[in-house]
Amino acid sequence: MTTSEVMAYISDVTQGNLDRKCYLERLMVRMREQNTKMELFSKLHEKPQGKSEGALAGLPISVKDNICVKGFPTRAGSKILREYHPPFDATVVSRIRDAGGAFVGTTNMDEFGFGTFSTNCAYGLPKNPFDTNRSCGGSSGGAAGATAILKNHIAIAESTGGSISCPAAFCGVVGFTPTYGRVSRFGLIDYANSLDKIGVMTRSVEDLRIILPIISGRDPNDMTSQVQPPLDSTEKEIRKIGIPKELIGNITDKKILETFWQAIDKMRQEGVDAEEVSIPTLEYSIPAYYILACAEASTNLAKFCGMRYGLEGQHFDSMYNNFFTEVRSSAFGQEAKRRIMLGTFARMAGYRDQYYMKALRIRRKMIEEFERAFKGIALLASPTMPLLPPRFDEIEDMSPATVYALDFLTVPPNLAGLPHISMPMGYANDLPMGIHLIAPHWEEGRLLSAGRIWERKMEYRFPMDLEGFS
Amino acid sequence: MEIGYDVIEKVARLSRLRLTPEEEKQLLADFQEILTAFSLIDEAEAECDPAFHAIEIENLRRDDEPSIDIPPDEILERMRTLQRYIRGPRMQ
Repeated sequence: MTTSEVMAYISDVTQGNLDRKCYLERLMVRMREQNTKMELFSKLHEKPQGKSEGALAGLPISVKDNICVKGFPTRAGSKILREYHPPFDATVVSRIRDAGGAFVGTTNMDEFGFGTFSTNCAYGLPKNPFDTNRSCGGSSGGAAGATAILKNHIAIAESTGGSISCPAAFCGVVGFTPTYGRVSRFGLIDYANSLDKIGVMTRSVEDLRIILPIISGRDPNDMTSQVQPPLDSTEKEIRKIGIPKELIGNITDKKILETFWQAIDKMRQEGVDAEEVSIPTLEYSIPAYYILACAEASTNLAKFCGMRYGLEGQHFDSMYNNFFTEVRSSAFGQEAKRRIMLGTFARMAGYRDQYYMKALRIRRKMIEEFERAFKGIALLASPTMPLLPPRFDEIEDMSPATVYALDFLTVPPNLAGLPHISMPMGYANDLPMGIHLIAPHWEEGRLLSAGRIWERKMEYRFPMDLEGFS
Repeated sequence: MEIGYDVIEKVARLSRLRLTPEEEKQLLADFQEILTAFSLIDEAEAECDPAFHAIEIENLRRDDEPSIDIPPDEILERMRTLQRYIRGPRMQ
């Protein structure tokens, strides 16, 4: 086993070789300077603490802006939560605090997770550290960018339809999304309950072995976490991976395809066989996902009405419908309005069977097809995204339907609740590309084993280390 | 799929959103493009039970014991109150 820089940092703190308070103080100065132009954080902590002992002793930990941190602005990238300071910690945050991690701030994201490029943020536009004219990816764009510039750090992120994998690929870091239910969602501001998963971003697969046991496990506050078997991260033999032809066949970027096949050859050199497989229902994953996600979002966001949470309405003389409507209309961004309305439409009498119920049936069929595909195959593989990180001016010219369609590689495992990982697979024009691996439910260990194999063949590049002072 | 302004207006009303004329125009165009793309699912053969979750969920309950998770005062501090009552809009 190799020792990662994060492991070395934790060891230095616990053994007293590094003064964590002094280190964190200097780091925050650099982060504040950097954040004025990079806008990766929606808010930085004034004085991170952490502990000098524990599995995460003093390690800087960032948290996506939709995961509640007690007393700290947690706004899910939305103006409607502008004044929200949660009165409690999310379970994942409590576990990190207990393990000694130092919370350094919340990372920028698309409003409620609604986006592929982190361009729908109310608290800044996160810039890709590889090229600041380009997107970090979304929706956990700030988390990915922060991981790319911070050596001793782990980001807590969240994925509904690819919000960890996409930005991890665009920013050249490791993005890990566990099985649905593996990590408690208590304290997560919902986008779509049946799809939301808290995960992490790191600079190496070894760092996943540190953080996953801490954040995983049953939580009485989240019923969906209660059915999980224990996390097994012991070494697994990876003999064969499958490449779904429905995914690979829709990629047109030649450089991404070429790099992917080179990656498969490198895996073969390590004794991992690869073969093409077919999962026909993948063709329907984009409409099925967006219908379900928007339907759930439209009900989840009903609670944001100018009372109880965040931004408050001013005109108490208004009738309640007008009061709620006024606040929602002024505070939700355009993409939030679009998805709320699409979801409301998909649930309306007359359309419910055609859209919502059909999408739920497609999900069932896709899960069954995935189960069949995994017989005799350890993992499925594809590139993570079908394009390099786009420039902001290119994104402005894309219609919503065009942007949704770009998620066809990351949506399937999210829709089926399968664990998956994105790792840097190569660089084109000095921009990173990701390889995406998918495992059966609860088989996170296979991803860790395959990741270790992959990192023997691949040297990652990071655009900067803010910790240059140490 | 053909969608008219009447549908956009109805959906906005149900969503508790008031749209400007520009927003209505944009959302009409977006809905038409997105629903055309979504119509792909019409051809999917999926005669199975709907999957409301990706994994099997068991209904597990906590013990029915009274407790205070967050002190009410702490919650009230975070809200606009009038004489310690939560303020809200008129109901009628």
